[in-house]
Amino acid sequence: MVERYWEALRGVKDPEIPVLDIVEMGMVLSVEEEGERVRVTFRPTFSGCPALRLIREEIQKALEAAGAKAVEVVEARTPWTTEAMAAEAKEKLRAYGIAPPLPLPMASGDPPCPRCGSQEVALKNAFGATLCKSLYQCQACGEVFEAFKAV
Amino acid sequence: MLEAYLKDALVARLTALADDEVILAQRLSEWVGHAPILEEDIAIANLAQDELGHAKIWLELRQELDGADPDRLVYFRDPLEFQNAVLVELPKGDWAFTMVRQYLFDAYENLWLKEATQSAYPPLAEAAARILKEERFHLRHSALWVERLGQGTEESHRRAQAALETLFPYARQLFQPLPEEEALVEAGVVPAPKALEGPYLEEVTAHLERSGLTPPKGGYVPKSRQEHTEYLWSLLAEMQSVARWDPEAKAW
Repeated sequence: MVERYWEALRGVKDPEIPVLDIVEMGMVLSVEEEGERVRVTFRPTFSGCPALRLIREEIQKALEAAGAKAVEVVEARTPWTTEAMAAEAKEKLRAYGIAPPLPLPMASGDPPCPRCGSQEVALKNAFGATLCKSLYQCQACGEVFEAFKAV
Repeated sequence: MLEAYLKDALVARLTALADDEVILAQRLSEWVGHAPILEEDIAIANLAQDELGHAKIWLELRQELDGADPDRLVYFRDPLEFQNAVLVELPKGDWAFTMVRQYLFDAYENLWLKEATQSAYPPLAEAAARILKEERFHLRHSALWVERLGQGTEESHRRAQAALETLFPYARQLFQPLPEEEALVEAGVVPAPKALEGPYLEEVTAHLERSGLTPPKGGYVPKSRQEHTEYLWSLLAEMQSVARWDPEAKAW
């Protein structure tokens, strides 16, 4: 039965990157069921993320819609890492125009342009429109793009 | 688990950590809408948001120890109860002042957090690991600005050097231990602040000199975190005004 709740959580999108859901982001650590009570343990991505409150509400709503009578959302201390992102999630990011996070050992390098794949990119700003992204410009095709920070 | 005799000392350290972040975030947010270029406006809003997120983590750790409500601590404490360093409460000044301060603080915080990931108190070690991931970006950003200002034009160099003259002694206050901190250090819960001062001065001095700047010798170093300047009063008056105006509101 717990599978049904996992499925429901796939409907909860990251409000700042609406192509990704919180399960493929690696934010959900566990879903436990006790009768009609459901307990979700999740970890936030960036600690100052303003979307956190909204995500909690969305989790609550999604699980209630899936039949849960009581929902408990527990915030875990385990630090989130971009290594927890599913491979498909990274591909979705690229298709959406955001350079996916590089694997951690390469985190000090620059990501290739999500549009043309060129490695010739210049960092414009380590801080983007949201806490999780940096701003780059591709030197080859001229595209200005956001890149997900590897953490 | 944490031994009972260490609790008060850890509450004090967590409060100091959070207060530094809250006050710095308030100073940073004063730039929103006024930064020299759009990208920096965005960056500084990001920095402020991160610092607030970190304050929340520290205050939630404190809440587990003594039950104190984070919102009440931030919005209803009086200036003399704040445990922040003077460095973060000084008025925002010009852009050079803001970036030199940010660099001096980021370099300290990165060092402290790196050590704290080894804490014998697992919740603190985990929090430090989480915050460190984000602080790396802060340090990279502010270190680059120090270099740019120090080696930029004659005017940017002059302003960065002037900021450094004022700020450098205050940065050294960050290494003053809290009154009961020794027991925490001995138990391996937090890094010894004094032991970090040497590596800090070495790292920061090297970067400043590479950037063409000279750290001043001497200057007044506040002796404890009980010391504040008049600037904290006006900062808090503004920061706390909405909450104090409607203390019963569910969120501010």
